[in-house]
Amino acid sequence: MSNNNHEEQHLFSVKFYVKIFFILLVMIFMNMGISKLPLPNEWVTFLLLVVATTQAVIVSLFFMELIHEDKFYSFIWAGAILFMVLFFIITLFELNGRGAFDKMEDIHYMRSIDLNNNYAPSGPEMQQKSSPSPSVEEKK
Amino acid sequence: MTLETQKDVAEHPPYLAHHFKSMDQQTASGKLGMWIFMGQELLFFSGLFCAYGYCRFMYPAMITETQKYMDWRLGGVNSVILLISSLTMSLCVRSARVNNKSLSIKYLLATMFCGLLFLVIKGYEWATHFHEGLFPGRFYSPDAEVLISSHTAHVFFGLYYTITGMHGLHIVVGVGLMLWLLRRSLRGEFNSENYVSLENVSLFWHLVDLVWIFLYPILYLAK
Repeated sequence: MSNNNHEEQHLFSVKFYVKIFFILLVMIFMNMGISKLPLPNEWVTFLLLVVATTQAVIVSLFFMELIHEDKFYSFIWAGAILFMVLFFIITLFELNGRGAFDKMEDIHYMRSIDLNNNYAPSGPEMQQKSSPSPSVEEKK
Repeated sequence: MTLETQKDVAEHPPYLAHHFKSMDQQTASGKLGMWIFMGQELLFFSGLFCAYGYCRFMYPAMITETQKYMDWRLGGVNSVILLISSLTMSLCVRSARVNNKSLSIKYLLATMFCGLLFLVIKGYEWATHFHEGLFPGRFYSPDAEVLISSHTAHVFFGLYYTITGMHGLHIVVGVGLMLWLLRRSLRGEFNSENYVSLENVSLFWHLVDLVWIFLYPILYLAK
């Protein structure tokens, strides 16, 4: 575990903290600039997240001082991030692959709203504007 | 009291709890507990971020339409305020570690002020949305001037209020913890040997900043 005397050798200077602050500040303005770029939405979101992730790494390393803390704290933090990433990946894969077999079977599930503004029975419970639609439409 | 026990009491550092062997062990245990809590907090917010990702994947056009009603300037001001507060919190811990009590208190007060300012701006934003009828879930009833045609916009606003509300709640808790630290700082409890409470609250505050670092681009800037 950490040793106080050991940590005191790694006390950042005020100047260093201010430098980190300005780097993070520039990155906030970079993100504002990126949002105005004439790029497709997906690319803008991707670039925004790249800058935000870089900011998060800088905050973790220098403001949270993981760079010179006991490596076990970094392990705990990295473990939480790993499970978070797994959580996102599994959810997004499920979303992306949802209905893959239905397409092969030519089955169409209604999950939101059809062209007549009918809410699917499995979708949000709201007042229906016309007759309810079946939950499964078999197109044959 | 035996002579040995009297000697132990005399050598006992004033801030060392009796169930720890040394200040080093006490500091390390406090930090370990805090980092485990931080991991839990990250997973808690990841659920909310995942819900937003799901919503964005399922209803991309709706998200693009509703995000026009997010004021990126106010969000940007709040980002800068939280960043300043992160700096002042780090400097507060540093000042305590070099035994500068008065400077540590000043930085702590500055951090609290930034936290409160953030809440005021966030509150103003919420009030503006409420004024436009942009309520969450089944309470969603936009004014005639609001140009959102999507039938699922209430889902976005439900998520928006939940995510920013939970983040705001963390700010309130953080400011509350700083009040407690302020009381202890004024008593002169923090110094180069005893600063783990300050450092742990500082970690919590940086986490709050970290969450906003992602919330700002995905809620205000992404199209």
